[in-house]
Amino acid sequence: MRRALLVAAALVLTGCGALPDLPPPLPSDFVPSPTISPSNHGPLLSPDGFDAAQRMTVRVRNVGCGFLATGTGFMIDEHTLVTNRHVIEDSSSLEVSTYDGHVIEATAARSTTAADIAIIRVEESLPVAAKLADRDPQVGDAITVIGYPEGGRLTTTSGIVLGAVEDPLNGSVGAVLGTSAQVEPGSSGSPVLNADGEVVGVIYAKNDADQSFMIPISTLQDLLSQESLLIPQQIACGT
Amino acid sequence: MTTPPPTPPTGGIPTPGPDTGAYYRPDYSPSEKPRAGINPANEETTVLTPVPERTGALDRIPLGERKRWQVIAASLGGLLLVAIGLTIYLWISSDRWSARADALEGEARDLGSRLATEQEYVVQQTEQINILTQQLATAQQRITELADQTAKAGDDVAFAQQEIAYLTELSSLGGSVSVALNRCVNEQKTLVGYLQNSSAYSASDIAQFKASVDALCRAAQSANSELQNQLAQ
Repeated sequence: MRRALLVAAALVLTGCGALPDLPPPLPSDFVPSPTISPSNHGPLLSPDGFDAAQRMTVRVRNVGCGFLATGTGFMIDEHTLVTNRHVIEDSSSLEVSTYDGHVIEATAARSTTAADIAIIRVEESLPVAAKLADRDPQVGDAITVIGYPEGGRLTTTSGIVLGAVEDPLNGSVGAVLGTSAQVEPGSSGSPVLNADGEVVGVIYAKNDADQSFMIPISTLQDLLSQESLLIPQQIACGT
Repeated sequence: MTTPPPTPPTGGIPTPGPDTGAYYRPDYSPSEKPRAGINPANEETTVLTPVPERTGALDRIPLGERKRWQVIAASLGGLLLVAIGLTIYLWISSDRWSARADALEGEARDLGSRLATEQEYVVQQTEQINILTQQLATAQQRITELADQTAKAGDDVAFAQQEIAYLTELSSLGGSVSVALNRCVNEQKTLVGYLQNSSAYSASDIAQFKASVDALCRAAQSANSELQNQLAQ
């Protein structure tokens, strides 16, 4: 009898354990909080919709001694830009214009004989500077060239790195890189960008096979780190 | 009266029959017809128990049996109470779950309504974004065109300035040539005058003046030739 009572009590307790619980209270809000906010999106574009690569690329006008020439350059800080030496040679004045037509007068220029590279200084500050890559691109890497071919509109072309070659103009110390990106006169000094938007080279020449040549970023980095290799150029005729 | 010690019946254990109340009577007579299964020969050795004074149906149930029924009745009562408690609990639980289900359905309908509103808003905003994207692309193209035109205009201005400087230089050179040619003509006129009145001057002075006039005129002609060459370019 006692055993029966114990069994009955156990059954009751077991049954109570199997009973459904009372419902919990309803949550106050069924909509989860958003995980993103507008501030998470970086300022990749300016308010006018142009990207950083377009904004950092400038058109260089060389008002020479009896001639007029154009080229391309890009900002490496807010007062300094890089272009080719042959773009600024024999100039009586240098002017750069931005993607939106803003014209800025150059105040000083330096160049080197080690490569077709020149550095230009401007008084007025520009808002966007290029990010320089840490290493040269590899063969087969996709690249983008942005510049002002024929002194015309800002244009973007793409291609791949073909490999290291000797400088066809014999003006650079060390090898340069050939690319399949099509460029034109006026594209000299254009930045070459990798897939991450970093500058990996500077366009300076082309050949009859529509291949372009660029000075690798390692050479530019070496020049920027050795100020003595950059010789000031007078912006005036007769020098 | 002494009770003899109980002796087990030799005819086997009597089988209990229907409770007639007469089976253990002490005034049992052998003349009465024995019940089936009882051996009359052993009647004298059967132990008889006196019947108590109270003879109710419940009193006739053995005490152990009675306790067992009491426990069973108590257990059934407890179970009934538990069942009633469970029923109340389940009732309340069901009621609350039902209320929760109603509330959730209401929330679901509200969320569905808000979702539909948001979807309409998204469609409208997407359309606006598409329009703005087109407008932005058009504006960017226009900015690029204007920048190009500005740059070309700057080129034209620079080129024009170079042309003006060059023409100014040519003009200056032409002026110089003109002055030199005029001086040449004037000096030659002077030389002609000297030659017409040669008796008044020594031959060596006239020859020296003529040589200087020739040099002046050659320089003027050279400058004129250079000017003509530059104009021809």
